[in-house]
Parts: sequence; C-alpha cells; structure tokens
Amino acid sequence: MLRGFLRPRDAEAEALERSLQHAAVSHQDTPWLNGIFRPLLIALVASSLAAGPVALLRALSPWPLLYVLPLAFLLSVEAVYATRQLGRPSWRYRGRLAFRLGEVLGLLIVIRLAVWLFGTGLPGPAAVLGWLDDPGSFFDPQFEWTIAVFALCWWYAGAMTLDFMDLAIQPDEMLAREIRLEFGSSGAEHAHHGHSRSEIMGGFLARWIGCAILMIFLAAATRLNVRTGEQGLLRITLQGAGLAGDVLAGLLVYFVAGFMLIGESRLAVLRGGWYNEDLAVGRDVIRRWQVMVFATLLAAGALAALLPLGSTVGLSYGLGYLLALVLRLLLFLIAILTILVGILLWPFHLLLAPGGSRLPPPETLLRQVPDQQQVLTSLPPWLGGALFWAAIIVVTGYLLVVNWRGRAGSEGGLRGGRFERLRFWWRALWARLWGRAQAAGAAVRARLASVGPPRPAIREPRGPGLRPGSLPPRARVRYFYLSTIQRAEQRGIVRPPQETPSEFAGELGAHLPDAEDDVAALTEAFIAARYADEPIPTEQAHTVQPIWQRLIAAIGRGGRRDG
Amino acid sequence: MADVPVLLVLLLLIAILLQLDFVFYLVYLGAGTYALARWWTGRSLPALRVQRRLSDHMFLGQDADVEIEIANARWWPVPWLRFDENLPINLQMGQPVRRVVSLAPKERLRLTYQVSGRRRGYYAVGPLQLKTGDLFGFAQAGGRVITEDHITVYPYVVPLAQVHFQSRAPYGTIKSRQRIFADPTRIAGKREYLPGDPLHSIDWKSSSHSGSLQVKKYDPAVALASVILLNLRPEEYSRHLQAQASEWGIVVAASLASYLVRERQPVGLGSNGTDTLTGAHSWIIPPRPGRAHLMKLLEWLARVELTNGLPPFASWLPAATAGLAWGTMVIVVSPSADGPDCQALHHLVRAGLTPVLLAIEPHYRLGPLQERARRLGFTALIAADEHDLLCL
Repeated sequence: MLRGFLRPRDAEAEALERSLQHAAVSHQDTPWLNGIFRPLLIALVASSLAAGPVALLRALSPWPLLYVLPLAFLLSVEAVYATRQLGRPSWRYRGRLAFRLGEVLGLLIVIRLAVWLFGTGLPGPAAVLGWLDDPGSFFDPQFEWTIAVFALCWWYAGAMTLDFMDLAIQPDEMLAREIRLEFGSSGAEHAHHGHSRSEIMGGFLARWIGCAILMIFLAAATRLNVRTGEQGLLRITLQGAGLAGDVLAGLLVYFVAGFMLIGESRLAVLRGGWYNEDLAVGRDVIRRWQVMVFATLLAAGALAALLPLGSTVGLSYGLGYLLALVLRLLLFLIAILTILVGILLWPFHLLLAPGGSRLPPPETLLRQVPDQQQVLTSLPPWLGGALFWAAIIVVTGYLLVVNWRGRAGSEGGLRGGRFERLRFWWRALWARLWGRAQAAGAAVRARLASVGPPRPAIREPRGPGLRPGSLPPRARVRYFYLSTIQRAEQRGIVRPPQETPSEFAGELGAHLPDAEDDVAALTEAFIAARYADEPIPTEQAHTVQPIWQRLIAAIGRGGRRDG
Repeated sequence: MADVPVLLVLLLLIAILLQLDFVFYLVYLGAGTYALARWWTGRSLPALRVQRRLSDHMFLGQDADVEIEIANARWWPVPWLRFDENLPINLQMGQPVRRVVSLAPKERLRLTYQVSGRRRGYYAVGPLQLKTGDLFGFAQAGGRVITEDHITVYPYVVPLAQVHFQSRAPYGTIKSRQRIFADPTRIAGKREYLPGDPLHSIDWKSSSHSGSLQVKKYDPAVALASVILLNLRPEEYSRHLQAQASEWGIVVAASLASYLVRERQPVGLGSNGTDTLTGAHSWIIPPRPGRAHLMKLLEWLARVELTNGLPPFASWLPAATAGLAWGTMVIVVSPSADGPDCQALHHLVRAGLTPVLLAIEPHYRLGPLQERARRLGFTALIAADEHDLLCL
C-alpha cells in the first residue's frame, strides 16, 4: 500500500512497512495455522470428492483412472499449502493473481503429464506436429475430464483451507485482547464481533453436504441403466453389482474425514469465543478433542456395522419400489406439463417460422483483394500453432517463475525452516569448493611461474566474462592500468597503498627502464580517466591499448630476466 | 446444523432407491454420530458432581482459598466444560474465575482460587455456572448452576491494650481504682488488724504464725458487663464523612467488643442499622461472655449497613436498653450527640446504667460536649481515629 504513495521508496516508509508486517506476523495464530493434521484432513476430503466422478467415468469410458485419486490427493495438498501461503501477511501486497495463474498452469502441466503417463500414453512426433497445426488437439477428452475433476478437488481444498484460516484467531482479535488486558476492561465488553465463526462453519458445512450429495449421486448414477423402451418411454433400471473398491474408500474417507473437520471447525468456533472472552482454556481440551472426535466416529461406525443394510432387509426393497413409483409418477406429471406447455406455445412458433416475402439478398461486391483464407493458405500451416505455443510457453514460463519465486521468497515458504538451512548449506559447500578450486589454480600458476623458461604465457587477469573491448572508454583505460598493476605485483613490483599513481609510476619506471615512457603515458591516461570529469573519447582508449600491451610484455620480459 | 438431518434423509432415499449398501452404512454412520452427540451432551452435565469448599469467614485483609471439585461420574468423557464463578468485586483477586476444562471418564478435577477480604461484609460466592456441548455442534450446550456459598469478612479490629471505662457494678475481673468495691476473690496481701475490720477478713492462719491478728487485703474490682450500641442512621453523620465514619464506627465497636471479651467481660451489641442477611434493623444482642459470642458479634458487625429512614437514635435508645441489668455499661458509638441524645443518655444514668458516649467523628466542640456530659452524669470521649481509640 505504501508503495503506491511514495515515489521513490524511502528508508522511513520501508521501515514502517517492515514494522507493520512484523506486527501482522507476530499476531498470528501459529498453533492453529501450522501443523499437518488439518491440511491432511482437508486434502483427504477434497481428493475423495473425485471418487464420484471417477466412478461415473469408469462406467461411461474404458479409461484407466487408477491414478486419479492419488494425484487428486497431491493436488489437494498443494492447494492447501498454496492457499495458506497466500494468506500470510507478507503476501498482502503481492500479486496473487499471477501466483495463482502460475499455480494453475503448473498443475495443468502435471495433469497433462499424468494423463500421458498413466492414461493415453506418451504422444509421438506426429501428435506433437499435429499440435502445431491444431493446438486444440493438445486437449483430449480424458485430459478435459480429468481437468474438471482435479479442478473440483483443487477448488474444494482451497475453499476449505480459507474457511479454516478464517476460523483462526485473527490478528485484530489478538490486538484487541492485548488492549483489554493492558487497560483492564472486561473481556465481554470488547469481544470482537466482526468475524462470525458460526457463519463460516455453516458455510463449510453446507459446502460439504452439497458436495457429498453430488458425490453420492455421481457414484450412484453408475448403477442406473437408462434406455428407451418399446413405446418410446424412458426406462430406468438398476444394474451392476455395486461400487468399485477405490470409490467405496473415497466415499468412506470423505465422510469420516469430513466429520473430523466438522469437529475441528466446532473447536475453532468455541476457541474463538473463549479467546475473545478471555477465558483460560486447559491444554487437555485441545489435546483430547481430535482423539474424542475419532473415538466418536469409531463408536458410531462400529454400531453402524451391526445394523441391517439394504440388501439384507426386505423392507428396503418395498420402500424402494414405493419410491420408484413416486418418481415415475413425478416424471409422468412433468411429461404431461411439458406437452401442455408445448401446445400453448405452438401458435407462437407459427408466427416466428420463416416464410412469406423476403427481402432480396444484397448484391455481392466484386473483391479485388485476396481474402483472408487465400492469404492464410499461402503461409505454412504450422505457423499459427507455433506462434500460439510460443506465446503459451512464454506466458507459462513467466507465471511459473513468479509462482516459484513466491514460494521461495516468502515466510513459511522455501525460504523458511529446513529449506533455508538446505539453501545455506549448499551455498557454503559451493563456496568451499570454489575457493579450493581457485586456490589450487593459483598454486598451479605460482608453480608454473617459478619454473624457468620457457614460461607459458600468462593469461590476462580478467574477471569471468570480462572483455576490455566491451567496456566503455573510461572503464577500458582503468582496466588497462589496473591489470598492469596486477601483473607487476605478480612479478614482485608491489604498489604500496599509500602511493599515488604518479609516485608509483616512477618506481615502476625504475624497474622497466625500457618502458619508462609507456609507464608515464599509461599513468597519465589513468589519472585522466579516474579523476577528470571530461569524457574520455574512444580514440584515446584505442591509443592507450598498444601502450598497455607493450607494458605487459615488458613486465613479462622483466620477470624472465629477474627469474 | 439442521442441514445434517436433511443430508441423512436424502442419503437414505438414495440408498433405498438404488439399493446401495454402502450408502446405508454412511447413513447409519452419520445418524449415529448425530444421535450420539446429542445424547452425550444431554447426559454429561447431570452426571457431574460439583462441590465448593471454602471457609465461611475470614478477617479483613486476609486471603483464603476456595476449592472447587468437579468429578465426572460417567464412563464417557466430557469434551469441554466451561465454568464461570460469580464473585463479588470485593473478594476478587486478579481475573474473574472462568475456565474451560476437559474431563476424562471418572476424572476428578480440583481447582483452587483465592479470594481476598478487602472489605468487611457478607458476600455470596457463586453461583457457579456450568456449560458444555458436543464435539460437532449438533447439540446445544446445556447449563447448570451450582448454588452460592457465603463468606463473612469480619471488620478490622484494633488491638486495644487497655480501656479506662468506669463501672458501677461491684465485683468483676477488671481492676478498678474505686476502692469501694473490694473483690474478695482477689487477695492482694495482709496487714495488721484494725478495729472495725470485718471478722471474716481475718486470716487465722497467718495470725497464728505471727501471734497477732492479720487481715487480708483485697484488690478492688468491678464488673464491666457492657452493651455496645452502634448508631448507623445516615442523617446523623456528616454527609462527606458518612461512609468513612460509619465504617470507622463499626471498627470501634468490633475493637471494643474484642477487648471486653478478652477481659472476660460479657458484652452485647445493638444497632439501628440493617443486617443484610436477616433484614433485621434496630436489633440488639444481649451481653454474653466468651469467644464464640464475640465471633457472633463480629458476624453481625460484618453484615450491618447504614439504613435510611430510621427514627432518631435518641428515640431508639430507651427501647434498646430497656432490658439491661442495673450497672451495665452502655457504650454508645455515634458520630456525635446533640441535645436529645444527651438527654437520652442522661435517662440511662437515671435508670442505673453507665452510659459512655464515643464520638467517632472529629468534633470541634468536644469540650462543651464533655462538660455537658459530665453534668448529665455520663462520660463523653472522642474516638475519631485509631490514635484516639488507643488512648481511651
């Protein structure tokens, strides 16, 4: 927010923003937001939502779909942690849309790869070329359906995560409590009412119930056999021996994990109320909560296992027939109503039907210029697709980089905790190895320098990737002088730090009597480049270069004579 | 939470229609969880045994522990239990006593908190409100109230070493300067017999040893049976000193009662104020000796409060002292005394009682009051602060 008002960013604004972020970070409900149990439950519930669509797809298509549920779980875990990361205070002013788009594109890539690996098989060269001609062929039906299924799981995981983040104790509630405790006012007077946890829990519950019904419908729909009878009437009958094992497991996980999350949300509602009323809460309350929820579900499940199921109780068949009859009556009524409405609206059809006098069609104009199709047919057919894919790759790459940087740079992301230590360890290791390599290289060079003629030519001391020709004139002149000094030091002519360039020029000239003039010229050029404000023309740099080369050679000869 | 039954009904219909056994199981799981949560909540609170242990009296400035014991008598746990203890502000130390705990099956929980007697009075500790609920929010949390207990905080008692009150009652336990009352139980020595000494005072044993008649010498003593009458009519106090002076009057009464009981004197208490426990006003407790009686007096002094709309103190005084024995010292603790008050006190003198007026408000006309009192036959003293009280 401050960035939008201060141009440029000054130290005071940065300090204020850091303190605000620190306050937001320090007032975080860390025990609630951290941990892996709740994210795991959310991921289980969201991924098990795929069981219903998977069951339906299995009934309608021969696709191998065993990989869908495990992959849905991994995607749900990713959705949970990405949503948690976006909820951090440090992300308040960042580009969430770019992060999310990068995340979505990354997930699409993963899904596409998974479908190739476990479903349709890897595409061949012909298929790849076909994408250039027709980019739409990149999307096959299995890919589209799995995108829909995974999108549902991903959205559900993110929505549940947001609910639980909203159920946590908010920073403003923590600040309000600090104020209450400091000024001694009673908790009930200043309880924070702006955040209705009961409503959030109600929304979470409604979403869970809605998705449960959807999942059951989809799974149950696989048992239906719909066909047209002899009189043209719709016949719906039951078929199949039941649901597949993974679908059953998904249904069970959805309900069990869902009930556990309902228990967690109830705890959050109570916890928030207790916090705002300044109640002391025993540690056992939180610690035993999950155990008691699980024990309750276990007891209910054990009891349920003893109760009769549909296939073992004749009453259920009778009720089933009764319900089926009711539904058929309803369908019959709907059909009757549809026919009646059609009869009522039929006269309007006559009014809107085409017929009678028509306006003459407009005369087509003669075209002298080639149409778009003619133009396009003159271009290579793969060009459009190539451009399209190039744009997609560029945009995807950018968004993936944004996403990765966001994860790497935020608190709790890759910059925090173990990843931070891993990064530092790697950096330290690399620095050690590089230092040893440099030391070894220097030792080798020194060894070679100490051996008598013939001496291999010593390369100019250049920085990695530094070419004098690429430098501007002023920097080039300075480079010539400093590299000469460095070469002289290697030969034992060390410039004391307190000496000026002019003073050292005399000393260097004494060592190189044959190149005394060159020493003076190079020193004069360096002084002008270093201290004068006038621009250095390129011609002057060109003039200095042969002087520099002669000096380097002279120093090298002087070293051999000295050695 | 009404959505859950709707979900269960829908699932049941689907299960029946499509004959899906697993959906039946899910319906049973959901319904079982729902029913268990509601049933559990309804039976948790009545199964709790709650007890509060505390000392029902304490002295001013003292801290005392209050222990609450909550026991879960059932074989299933109580996931959360919230209790709120209502405490008067004058007893609270720190934050209010409110907490949320969890109880395992058959677990017994003891919670102790401290109360501080910052002001004398009769205080209600509690009631203790309990609330619980289920794990899923399917059932409303029930509430149960544990009745209140009471703590009496005695008033401050100034330790008095000696109080110079005069009594006309012969024989007692307090040494008196008035030699007219010689107590035959307090032998102070022997002397030579003088004509006129009563024969029963001759000590024959020492007379036979010495060869001459010896008589016993007795210490004079008086009985100081007393009744302390405390005036708590607000109209007779200075407006700006009303609260402070009335409290000080209670302290004076408590200190005198404690001194007199320590001196093994019977002491009674009366006041025209209102007892907050019984609602009685204008009451009197007959004189009795003993520490137990003192505690009773202190309890009444802890509970008594100023009362508006009372008749003047002077008109209540005769009725309050009507049943007192001759010679009883009537110590009137009042902010001051005007004409009717002094007349009433004079009537007490004429009735054979020994009234002493203790003015507990600073009196700028104490001298004339004391002179008037002397003429009317009673003593008027000032006890406006602790120093005055110690100098009595």
